[in-house]
Amino acid sequence: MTPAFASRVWQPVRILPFLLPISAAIAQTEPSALQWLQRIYAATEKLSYSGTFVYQQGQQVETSRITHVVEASGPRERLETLDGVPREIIRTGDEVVCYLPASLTVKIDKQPGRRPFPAILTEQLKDVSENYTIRKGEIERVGGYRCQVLALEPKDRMRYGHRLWADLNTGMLLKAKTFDEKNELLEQFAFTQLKIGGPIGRDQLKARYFRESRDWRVEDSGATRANLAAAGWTIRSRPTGFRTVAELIRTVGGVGGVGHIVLSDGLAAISVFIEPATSKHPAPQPGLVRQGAINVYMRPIGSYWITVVGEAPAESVKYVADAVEYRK
Amino acid sequence: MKEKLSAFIDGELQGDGLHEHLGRLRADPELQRAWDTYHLIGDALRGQISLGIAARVVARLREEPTVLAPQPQKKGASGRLGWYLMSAAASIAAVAFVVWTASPGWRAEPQLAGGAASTTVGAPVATLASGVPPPEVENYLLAHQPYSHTSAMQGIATYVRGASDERGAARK
Repeated sequence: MTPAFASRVWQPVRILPFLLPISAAIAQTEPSALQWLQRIYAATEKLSYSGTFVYQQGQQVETSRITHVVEASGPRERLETLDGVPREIIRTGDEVVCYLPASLTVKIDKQPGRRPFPAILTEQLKDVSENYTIRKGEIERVGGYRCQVLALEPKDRMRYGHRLWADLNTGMLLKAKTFDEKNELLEQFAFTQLKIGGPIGRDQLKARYFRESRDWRVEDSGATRANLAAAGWTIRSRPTGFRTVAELIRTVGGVGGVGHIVLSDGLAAISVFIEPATSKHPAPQPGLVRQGAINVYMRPIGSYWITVVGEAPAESVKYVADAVEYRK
Repeated sequence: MKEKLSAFIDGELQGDGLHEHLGRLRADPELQRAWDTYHLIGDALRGQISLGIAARVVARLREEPTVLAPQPQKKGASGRLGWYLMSAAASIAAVAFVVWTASPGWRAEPQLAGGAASTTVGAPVATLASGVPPPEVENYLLAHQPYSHTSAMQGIATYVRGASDERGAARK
């Protein structure tokens, strides 16, 4: 990024505490920037591609290989980590299967009632444009592709800022950075090698593990839609722009009957998990942990534990956790 | 003790460790129950239990109402299977906890006071004295990931987030 562009885009963020109300009122999303965001969503859904990307948070850098093939029956996707302990994720439609060879565990997760693309798109774009100011930046090269840079500035401090690099020709997202309220980099994804379109062998989508051994533990989330409000659980208030997008009962880490509420501002999601305290051995202490852009906060309510996970600032995550109530 | 048992069943105990554990297993009824449970779970996963039994268990579990209210739960015969599974899960978590405490990926953050600005810790901490036990963070993160709307732009790429931790765990 050029210094001139950086200062133009990020100046309001740097002096956020003083200028926020003004900058939020003045800031306008350019229509062409919103169209770019729409192109990115569509490209993720419609394109077949195969490549290698790096994920960096703090001092850690991990390389992974990803393959995405769109077939008549829908998209199929496979992710394989190349550094350190192997891990493999396969998505077919709305089902995600995670192979964790280090713990010989297979996790199966299905999203009940997930709205298909593009039905969800209009809603998502509306939410994003209400909570972020989207601006077009310069043209920069990533992984050999010329990319349009997009900056998503948060309109308040309850969400993070993002910079996106999308291929000029296809709209494919090649690089994404997440910044905190001090404009410091929290994490980034970037393709180092990518092939868009063309024939991609089906064998690249096949799971490598599992077949090798029969001693794997299978954990099915068994997620079903639920009305947790009817069971007495509510979120008293939520950070501006976040609304409930899913409410489920599921299994997490082998513990069944866990309530799961998902809030989203169109880009960032915050999950609230509600589970019986009896499932915790030893009993944890309330508190916050962070990795990259993810914050996790845990606290007890009566004989239950509330765990809130989100790619949002600690302030938002704690806000949501503190707003969880049981009323009957 | 249960993590030893699990290692024993997996054939990872040898020599003195094996003899010592056999002695404990003979003397401790709780360990014996866990032994039975582990084998039952193992058999179920390998598909060696007749479908009839498995189907009945599944049907029974489906009938169990999901109690999601902060009240003391009644203990009864119907809770036994749950107890076994829970103790199995807990012992697996305990094994994982030993490994994960040295994971460099997650940082414990100081408590936020009264909605003040979030704070950043400069260096990773070796152990998480407070906060969520790391193996559970992994479970919650995986459960959260499909709903992360950034995945609408990045597909399943965001699943690498937890993987850095698994890698940290392996280094230990």
